[in-house]
Amino acid sequence: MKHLNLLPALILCATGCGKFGDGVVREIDFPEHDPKIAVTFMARPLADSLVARAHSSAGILDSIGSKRIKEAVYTLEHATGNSITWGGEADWVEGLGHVLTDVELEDGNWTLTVEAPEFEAVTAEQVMPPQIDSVGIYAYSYATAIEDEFVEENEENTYLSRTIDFSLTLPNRPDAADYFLVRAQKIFNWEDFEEDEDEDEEVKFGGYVVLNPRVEDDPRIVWNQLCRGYLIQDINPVEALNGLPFQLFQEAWGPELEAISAEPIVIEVCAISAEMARYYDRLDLIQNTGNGPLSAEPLLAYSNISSGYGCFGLYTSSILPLTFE
Amino acid sequence: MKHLFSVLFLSFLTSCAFQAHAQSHQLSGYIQDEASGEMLLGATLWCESVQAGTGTNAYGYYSIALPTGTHQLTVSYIGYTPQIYEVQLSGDLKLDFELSAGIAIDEAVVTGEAFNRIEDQVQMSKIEIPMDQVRRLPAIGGEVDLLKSLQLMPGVQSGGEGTSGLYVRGGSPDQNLIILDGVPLYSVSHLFGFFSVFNSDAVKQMTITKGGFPARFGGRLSSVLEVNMKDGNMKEVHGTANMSIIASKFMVEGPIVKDKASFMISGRRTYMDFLINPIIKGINRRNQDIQTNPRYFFYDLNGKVNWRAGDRDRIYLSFFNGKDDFGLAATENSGVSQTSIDFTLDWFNSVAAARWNHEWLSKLFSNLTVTRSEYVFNTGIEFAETENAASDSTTERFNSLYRSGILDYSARLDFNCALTNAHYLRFGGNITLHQFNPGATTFQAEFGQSFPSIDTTLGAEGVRSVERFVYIEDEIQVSKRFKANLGLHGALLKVNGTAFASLQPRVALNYRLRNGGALKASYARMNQFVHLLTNEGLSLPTDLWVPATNRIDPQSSQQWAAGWAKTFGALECSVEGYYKSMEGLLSYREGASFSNTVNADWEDQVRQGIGTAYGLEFLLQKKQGRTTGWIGYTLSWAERQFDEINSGNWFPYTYDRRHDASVVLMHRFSDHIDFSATWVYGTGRALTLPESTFRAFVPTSFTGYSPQLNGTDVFIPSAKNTYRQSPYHRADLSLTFVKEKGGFTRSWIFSVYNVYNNLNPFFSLVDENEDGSRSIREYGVFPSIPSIAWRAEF
Repeated sequence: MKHLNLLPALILCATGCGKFGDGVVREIDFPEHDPKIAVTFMARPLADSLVARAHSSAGILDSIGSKRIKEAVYTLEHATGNSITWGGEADWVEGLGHVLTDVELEDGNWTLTVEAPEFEAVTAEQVMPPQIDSVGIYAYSYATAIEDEFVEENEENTYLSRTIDFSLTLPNRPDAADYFLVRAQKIFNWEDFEEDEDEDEEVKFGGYVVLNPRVEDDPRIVWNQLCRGYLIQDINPVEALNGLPFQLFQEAWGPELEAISAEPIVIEVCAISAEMARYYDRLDLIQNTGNGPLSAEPLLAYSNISSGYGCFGLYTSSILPLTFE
Repeated sequence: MKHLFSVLFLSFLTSCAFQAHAQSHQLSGYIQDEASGEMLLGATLWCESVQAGTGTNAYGYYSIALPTGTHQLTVSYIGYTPQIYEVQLSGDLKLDFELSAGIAIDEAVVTGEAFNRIEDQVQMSKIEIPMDQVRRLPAIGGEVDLLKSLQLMPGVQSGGEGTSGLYVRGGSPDQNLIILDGVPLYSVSHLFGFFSVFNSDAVKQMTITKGGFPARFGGRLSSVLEVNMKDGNMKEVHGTANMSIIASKFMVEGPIVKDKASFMISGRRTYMDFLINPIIKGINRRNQDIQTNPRYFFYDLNGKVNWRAGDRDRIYLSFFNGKDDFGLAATENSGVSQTSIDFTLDWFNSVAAARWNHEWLSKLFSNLTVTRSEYVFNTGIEFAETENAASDSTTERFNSLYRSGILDYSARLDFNCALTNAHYLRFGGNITLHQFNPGATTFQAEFGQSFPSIDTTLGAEGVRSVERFVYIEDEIQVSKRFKANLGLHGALLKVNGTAFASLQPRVALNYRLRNGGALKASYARMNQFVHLLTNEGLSLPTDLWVPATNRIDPQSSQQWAAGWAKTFGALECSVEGYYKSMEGLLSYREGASFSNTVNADWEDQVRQGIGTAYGLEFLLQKKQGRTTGWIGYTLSWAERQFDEINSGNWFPYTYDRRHDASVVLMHRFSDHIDFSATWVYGTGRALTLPESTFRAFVPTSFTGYSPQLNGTDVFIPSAKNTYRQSPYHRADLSLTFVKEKGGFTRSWIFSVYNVYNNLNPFFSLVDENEDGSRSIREYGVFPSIPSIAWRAEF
């Protein structure tokens, strides 16, 4: 009987704990990755310059990762046969990408082709959305009202905070899906601001603007962290985008109330293609979900590039400068 | 199918006509344990002279028709000495039988008269593990777990290392109907799924049905797990106490009025918080600026009162309460300000049931059950910051509390009618009022004196639904060799003005072969009106129970199974093949999880799809004798398809496991030494892993202020569940030393989990190496874990 008492102790000794180490069971092997072209080119009808980027996809275990393809050549061809070609080393601008200048794109269907040595050529098609503007057949409208304002002034500084009700009506075609990107920017005349020589001195000029929908979880209005704006979709065809209720919250500080309160709040309104909306919506979801055991269902990135990755998107844009004095 | 029902209906009429001419009397009553008066469920009674037998129902009640005269009846039950009684019948007779436990050490005598052998049962795909064996299995931390013992059976898989979730024949955990004394439970886990809520000392019996469901069961697609608590000893007070490194538990049972009324009460609590507190206090003493206070405990409490209100009536009152409470509080004190944060996560189950058994006639038995079942999950965070200025102090406070749950009120009436010895009829109905609370978040905030306070609640929309079902089933002895169980289950759900109805035919057939074995086949259509919104990676208390709605369809399945079964002496052997198709399966849409369901409409976060599961199961089991155990093996496939997941392509279910094997061995060396060992093997879990990456860009401005692009790396995942974790295998050992003295039996239980220290994969991560390269590694967290437990019985 007594010798049986030793059994548990012997078992414990036999098991040992050396194998536990850092908990690694094994490394998972992956098949060889076949690199493909990943393109980003978002274009609007008129622009001084637009940037295209082509990168190679890379295997997950590749230490260098996705590499830029300086040799990539882009051809943008309209349905009528007009085409624009740019790219290669000549058009590469360090820190930007392949820059296309003096852009003038007409309405209709466009096809983008990207070619690069040692890669399969990739293509994508897009239709230019109608021009969004404050006038015309594809027009937006809006209304604003200051809901609350707080000003605090002292000898050195002035602080302003405002809550502004902002109602936006976007065009809505009955026979087509409409997608928009709306975001707020506070533009400051930074060149007027002279940095104080004393580094310890507090910055006396600044501000920010936050745009929020007033209805929680409105399925038409989805925040996109990557674009720092709201992707808006006409989920219901009739009057779905009339009077979308937003609220702007503005904080600003500077030496004079007059100067800071006159600074315009800039609202960017873009009519974007469905593919562009899907691409950024999906990218945002991927970026904001982890890959741990508690993470969400894994996501495949959306792409409209045949035989490759990325997105060719077309959009039209307009600016609403909101001024409150 | 229609033709089959016609043939069987004709056989029913013929059989009734034949029985009407015979001069027979009804013998009925209960079969119970001699020492405790505990009802024995599934005990058998066999009459050799008429070659007929019956078994007790879920309440220990039997009824059999016998002709006038004297009969020898053999009454038997697993683990008990079979008894032969001589009964003289001249009219209907009510007679209770008692059996005594006591064939545990010597090899079992499996009598030829045994009626309820595996080949005799029409029901297929049903597994029962005697509780005596469950308590002897090796257990992690010395804490015996009922659900983990079921995971050792073919067709039943675990969700992952150490977890108690059940995945039955390719189904999801929400597709298991888990019934505790007639009450459905919605969450059966403690410690984030590592232990089940069932206290093994309080449980009398458990059975799991994986397919061929009789018509009396409904509401879930994949399995029915029935857990019955002990009724309480009618003769004398007994109890057990158990201490392990995880928790302590007790059970006390005894008569309130001898042979009339009894009670049983049991409880269990962890003491992790007591063990951790001194360590935390020590750490806090060394760092006065930051004080941390983690806490975790779980408890459960079972109780039951059993009253024999008369010769024909029995009343049972039972309850179960269980709670897990996890929290982490931290306070930082800098002298001029104090910041505190308190995170809480708790969930609890509360069920109560009242049951009334009544014998109307010697042929007709009824059970009325009225139940209440509630599951609540809360998680919250509270943040407070106090600034202590010389003249004044200001406090900013913010807290949010998320609460979800489900509350059911239910009434069920079942009738058992031993119409003739060739027809055992069951019929009844059920109505359940569900109150689903898929999630509400309450925010409260105080921002000192400068800003107004906030007190608001988001997403509080609850859903009420009423679920009803009726059923009828008939177990028919069609001929000497052919038995059938035919049934129909009709269900109706009304929710938000929408009604879902379903008719679910059930068929089970048994044909006895001349060599003693039996061929079995079954078909069952099942419908399920509730869904569990869960992440496939890990089952958590954050999983949300949601109903079918006008936007979300119910789940449904059809399962076909066929098999062979035979008893070889003390060994039961069965081989079964099955094919199951499922519709209306629910999954989070790609990119969604609990975290983005909190403030959103859950119906927008989900997608519905279909699935198939098929496989072959083999089981060789020895239930009695000095050496007991089983060998189980499953070869299976489980696949799913959702239009908006994995580009609409079929993919392996996360728990698709090609091979799953288990070997369980238990041996009693003597009355004082008991040994048990298990070994399990399973194909690795299916995984989705990032395979490649590319760089994507977003313009910093869309209106021309700047042509710059912001870059971001995007991982491209593989097709869903393309990869596999390493195969899982593990052996556990347990050795028990028993000593009896002065009416007390004390046991020391030594066990080792994962005895050969195989580090099984628990999760996988993409790691950045020092040289910038990446690796995807599997990590294991459970090495060998020795444990010791102490148990006393009186």
